[in-house]
Amino acid sequence: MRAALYFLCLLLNAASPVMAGGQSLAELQQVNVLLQAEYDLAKSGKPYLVINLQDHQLEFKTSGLPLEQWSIDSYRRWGHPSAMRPASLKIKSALAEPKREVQVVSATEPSGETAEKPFNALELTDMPTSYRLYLDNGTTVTVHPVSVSWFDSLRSSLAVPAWYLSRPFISSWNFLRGSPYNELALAMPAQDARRLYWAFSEGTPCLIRLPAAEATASAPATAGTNR
Amino acid sequence: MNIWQMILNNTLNRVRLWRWARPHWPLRRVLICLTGVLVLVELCGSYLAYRGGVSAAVAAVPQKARTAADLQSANERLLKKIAGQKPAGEYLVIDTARNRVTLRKGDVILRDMTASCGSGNVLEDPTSGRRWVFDTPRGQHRILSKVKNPLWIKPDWAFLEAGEPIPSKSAERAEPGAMGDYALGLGQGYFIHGTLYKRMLGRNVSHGCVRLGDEDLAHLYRNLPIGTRVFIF
Repeated sequence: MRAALYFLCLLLNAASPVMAGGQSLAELQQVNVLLQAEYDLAKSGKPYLVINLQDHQLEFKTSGLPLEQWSIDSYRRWGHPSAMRPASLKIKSALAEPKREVQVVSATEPSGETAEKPFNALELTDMPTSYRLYLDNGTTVTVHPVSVSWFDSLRSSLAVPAWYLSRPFISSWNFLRGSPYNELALAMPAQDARRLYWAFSEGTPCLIRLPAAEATASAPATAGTNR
Repeated sequence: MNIWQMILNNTLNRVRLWRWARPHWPLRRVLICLTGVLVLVELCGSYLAYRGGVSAAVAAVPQKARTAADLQSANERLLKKIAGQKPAGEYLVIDTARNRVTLRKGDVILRDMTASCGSGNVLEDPTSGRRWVFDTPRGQHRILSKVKNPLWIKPDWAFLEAGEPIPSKSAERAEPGAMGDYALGLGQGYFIHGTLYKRMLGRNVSHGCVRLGDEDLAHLYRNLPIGTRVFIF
C-alpha cells in the first residue's frame, strides 16, 4: 500500500510542470511569446488590444502605454488554447450597427440654407453592447453585456448550457469546411462593451493572454524563446 | 435479460417519448439512431475543438530549449524594453468616445479636460464625387506646430455644409476668431483648438479637430513643446 502511494506521488511529481517563481514553464513561455509580440507592437507605435483573461481585464495600449482599461465580468472559451495567438481585428459585426449620418450637398447648386440643423452625431451611446469581433486568425470574440435584471440572469443561465451544447456542432461543421472554430465569449459591463466597440477598430492588433492553467494545457513538448 | 438490460429498460421507460414510441419499433430505432448521431457529433466536435497541436505562435519561435530561469530573465528584459517605449516627458491622451483630453506624465494624470471630437458624420458632393468623413484621426501623433490667434482658412466642406458657394479667392476663406486664441497642429489639417460653441464641449460635434475650452487650451499652449506625443483613440 505504502509503495503504491510512493509511486502515485512520484507520478504526480513527474506530471507537474516545471515551476519558477510560482510560474510554470508553459506559462512563462506563453508570457514570453506575448511579450515579444507586444514589444514589436509597442515599437511600431500602433494601438493594440490586450485581452488578459488571467486578470479578467482588457487593456487598450499604444507604445506599451495603457490608454484605457476595461473589466471582463466573465468569459467562456471554445477551441484549443494554442489558437489564441496574436491576431488583428478583421471585421466587427452587430445586429444594431451604428449608422453614420450622410449629408448630400451640391457645390454647383448651393442651397443657401442657414437654419440650424438638428444635432446628430455618432456618439458612444450609439454603440452596441452585443456584437462579434472576427479576428484574422479565425477566432471569434463575442461580447455581451453583464446581466442586470432577473430576466437577463435567467436568460444567460439558460444560454450557458445551450452555448456548450451548440459549439461541438459548429466545430464539426467548420471542420468539414476546412477551418477550425475558436470562440471567446466575453461578458462586460454595458458601458465598457460600448467603449471597446468604439476604440477597437478594424486592423487593430490583438493579443490574448490565457490563465495559467489553460496556458499549461497548450504547452508544446519543448520550451522555446527568442529573446 | 441481464441486470444491465433491466436498468436500461427501467431508465428508458421513464422517458415519455420512449414510452410513446413503445408500440412502434421502427420509431424507437430512429430515436436511438438520432440520439447516437447527436452524441457522436458532440463528441467529435469537442475532440476537434480541443485536439492538440503545437501552438502556431510558439511554433513560429525558433525552437531552442531553455530553462524556466532563462525564460524568466528573458521576460524581464522584454518588460523593460516595452517600458522603454513609453514617452519620457509629458504627453496627451485624447479619448474620442468620452470627449476627454488628459495631460499625463508617466502614469500620473496632470490635467483632465473636456473636449469635442469628430462627429463621425459624412458629407458627400455627388457633382464633384468628393466625400468627407468627420472623424478625429486615431493613433499616435505629435504636436507639429503652435499658433497664436489662428486664422481659420475655411475648406470647401465648410461652404458646402453651410449651403454657400465655394469662393474662388483664398482671402474670402479666412475666418478669424473661430479657432479660439491658440491652435496646436497635429498635421494633415487637424488641430487642437478653441471653440465658439463651449456649451457643446463633451459632445462629438467637430469636423475632426479637437476643440477645447479657453483655459485648458492656454495651459497646453504654454506648457507643451513642439514634438509632444499625442495619443488619440
